[in-house]
Amino acid sequence: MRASKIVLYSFILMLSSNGEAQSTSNPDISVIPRFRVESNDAAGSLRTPDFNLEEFEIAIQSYLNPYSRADIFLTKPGLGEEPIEIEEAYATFLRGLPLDLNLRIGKYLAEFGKLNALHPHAWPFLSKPLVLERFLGSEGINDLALGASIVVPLSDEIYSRISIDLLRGKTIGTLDPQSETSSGGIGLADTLHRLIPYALSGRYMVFLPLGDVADLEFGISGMTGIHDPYRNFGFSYGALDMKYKWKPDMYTALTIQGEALVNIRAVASGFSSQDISTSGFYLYADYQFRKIYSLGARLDWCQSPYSADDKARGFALFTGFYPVEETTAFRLEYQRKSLDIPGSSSTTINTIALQFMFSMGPHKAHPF
Amino acid sequence: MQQVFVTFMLLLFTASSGTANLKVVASTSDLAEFTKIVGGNKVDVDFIVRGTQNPHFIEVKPSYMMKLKSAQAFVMIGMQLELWAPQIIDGSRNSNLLIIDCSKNIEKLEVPAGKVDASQGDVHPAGNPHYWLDPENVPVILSTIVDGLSQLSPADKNEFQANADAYIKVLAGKMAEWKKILAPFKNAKIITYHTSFSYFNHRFDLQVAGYVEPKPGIPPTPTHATELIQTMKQGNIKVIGLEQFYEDATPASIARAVGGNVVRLCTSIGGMNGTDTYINMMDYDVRTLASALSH
Repeated sequence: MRASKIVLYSFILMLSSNGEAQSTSNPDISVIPRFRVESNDAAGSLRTPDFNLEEFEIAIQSYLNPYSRADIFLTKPGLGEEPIEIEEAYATFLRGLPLDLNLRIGKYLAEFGKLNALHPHAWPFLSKPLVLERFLGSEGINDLALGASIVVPLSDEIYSRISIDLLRGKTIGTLDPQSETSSGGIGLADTLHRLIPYALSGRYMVFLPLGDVADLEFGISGMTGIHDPYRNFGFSYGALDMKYKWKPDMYTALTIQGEALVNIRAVASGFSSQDISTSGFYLYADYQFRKIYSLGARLDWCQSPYSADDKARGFALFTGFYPVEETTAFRLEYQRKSLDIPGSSSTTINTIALQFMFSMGPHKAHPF
Repeated sequence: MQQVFVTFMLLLFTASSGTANLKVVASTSDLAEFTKIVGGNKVDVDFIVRGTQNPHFIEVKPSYMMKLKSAQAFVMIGMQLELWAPQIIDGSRNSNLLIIDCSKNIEKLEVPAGKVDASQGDVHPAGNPHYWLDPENVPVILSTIVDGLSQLSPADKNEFQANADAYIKVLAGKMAEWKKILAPFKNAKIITYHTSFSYFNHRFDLQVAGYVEPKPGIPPTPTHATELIQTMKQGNIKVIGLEQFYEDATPASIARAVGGNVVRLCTSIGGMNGTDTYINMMDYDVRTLASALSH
C-alpha cells in the first residue's frame, strides 16, 4: 500500500476512534471533501458529465503553546493514485515578539490580494477567476516561506496591516502554452526547481467599518522575483483588491469583491530582452438570502503573463444552497469563457458544474 | 528661578501621574453594562456584539481586533458562546489582555451528559451559556467582574465592590416585582425559538415545551413544525417567545395553526426599543410574557 494511502487511512482511523468530544489537549481536526459533477463543450459539444472527488482536505489546527499555533492542511485530489499533498503546514508566532509582530514559517498560501489565501471550499463560486489562474497558477502563491505582519492602526477604529513574505519561489503553478484551454507561457516553477531563486511578496490592507451593517476592506499587493532563472529574467506584480460587505441581519448579506493585477516582466527579444506589461481583473457580487441560499455573478478579463495579445474573458453565474450552515453545501455554476490566443482562432468554452461538499469538525467563525 | 522650576516639575509630575481609566471591551452589550456598573467612572467600556445580533454568529472583523488591541481586559460570556473570540484575541496581538470569563462561578444548566456531536445540533459542551437572563446570576457575574477589574486596579477594589453591591440592591427590588408579575403563571408552558431562555424560565418557574428549532442552531423543518403544532395543541400552549434576531415567518405560521401568538422577547441590551438597560430589558421580557400568558 502506498505510503500516502497509509497516512490518509491512519488519519481516518484516528478520527473515527475519537469517540468522545475532542479534548482541549487534542488539535482541532476537520475534514472537508468536495465532489464535483462537470461538463463543458471544449470539444465542440457538451461532453458526458464527469463525476469526481475534486479534493479531500484534512485540517489539523492547534495552539502549540500560549505564544504560537500551527495549522496543517493535507489534500488529495481525486480518487486515483494522486498523492496526498501538504497544501499548507505552518506555525504562527502570535505573541512575545517586538512591535506585536506575527511571524509565520512553513508552507502556506501567501497574503497576496484577497482570494489567494482562501481555500477553494470557502469561495462562493467554483471556477478560479481567470486573472488569478493565469498569473498565480492553479495552486496560487503557495510556497515555502517566512512571513511577518504588523498591525498599523490608522485610528482607534481603522485597522491596517502590512504583511511580507519571503518565498522559496518553487510552487507557483505552471501554465501550459500547449493547452487547449489556457495559454500564456510558463510561470515561476517552469524550470529545474533548484535554480528557482527566492521571491518576495507583500500586502498592505485597510479595514473600514461603514456603520453597523457594512464594512469595506481594500488592499495593495506586490510581488517580485525571477521567472526565468536561466536568463535571470525578473517579474513584478502589483495588485489592488477590495471587498465590500453589507450584512443587516443573520439571514442576508451582499458581498462585492474584486481584484486587479498588473504584471511587468522581462521576456526574450531576439538576443536581448524587453519588458512587457499585461494585466487582468475580476469582479463578483454574491447575495445571500434567507441564510441558506446565495446567488452571484462574476466578470473576468485578463491578458497572459507573457503576451498582451493573448486574452481571456468570461463571466460566471453561481448559486449556493447551505441547508445547515457550512456542514453541507451545494453549489452550481455556469461559466462562459473566451480565449483569444495569438496564432489561432478564438475559442469559447461553456462549463456547467455542480459541487457538493460536507464539513466535519469544529466550526470556526468566518473571517471577513 | 530654581523654585519656579521645581514647582513646575512637581506640577508636571502630578499631572502626568493621574491614572487613566481602564479600557475594557466586553463581548456583549449586557456584559458591557455590568462592567460599567462595576467600574463606574474608572472604566471606559466598549463591546462587540450589538443587542440586535445573534452572538453565536459573528464574523471575525479586523475592527473587533482593533477594539481589543488597546484594551486591558476582555469580558466574556464563555462556555463557547463566543466561538469567534480566540481569533479576535489573537488578531488583536495584545499580549497583556486580561480575559474575564463571567461563567466562572455560574451554576450551569443543560450540561450535556455523555458524548456531544453534530447529530445534536450546535450543542454547547459546557452547558447552556445564556445565563445572564436569570437576574439572580447577575450578582455572580458582577463578582467575577469585580475580581477581574481589581486585578488591573487593586486600589479600586473597594469602589468596584461598592458599585456592584449598590446595583445588586436595586436589582433585588426589581426581582421581587418581576416574580410577583409572573407568579400567576407558574409552570405555564411556552415555546421559544432557541434555548435562550432556559435560565429565565428556570428562575420564573416557566416550562419550555418545545423549540421552533428542531435542534439548537438547526433551521426549522416542515416536519418539525408539524410536530410542534401537535405538541402545542395537545398542551393547549398558545405562546411562542421569539428572540429579537430570528425570523418570524415559521413561528407565525405555527402560532396561526394553534390559534396562538408570537411575542418578541429580548435577550440582549439594545436588542429592541426600550431595552437600553438590563433592568429595562428584563422588565420588557417579564411584562411581555405575562401579558401574552394572560390572554
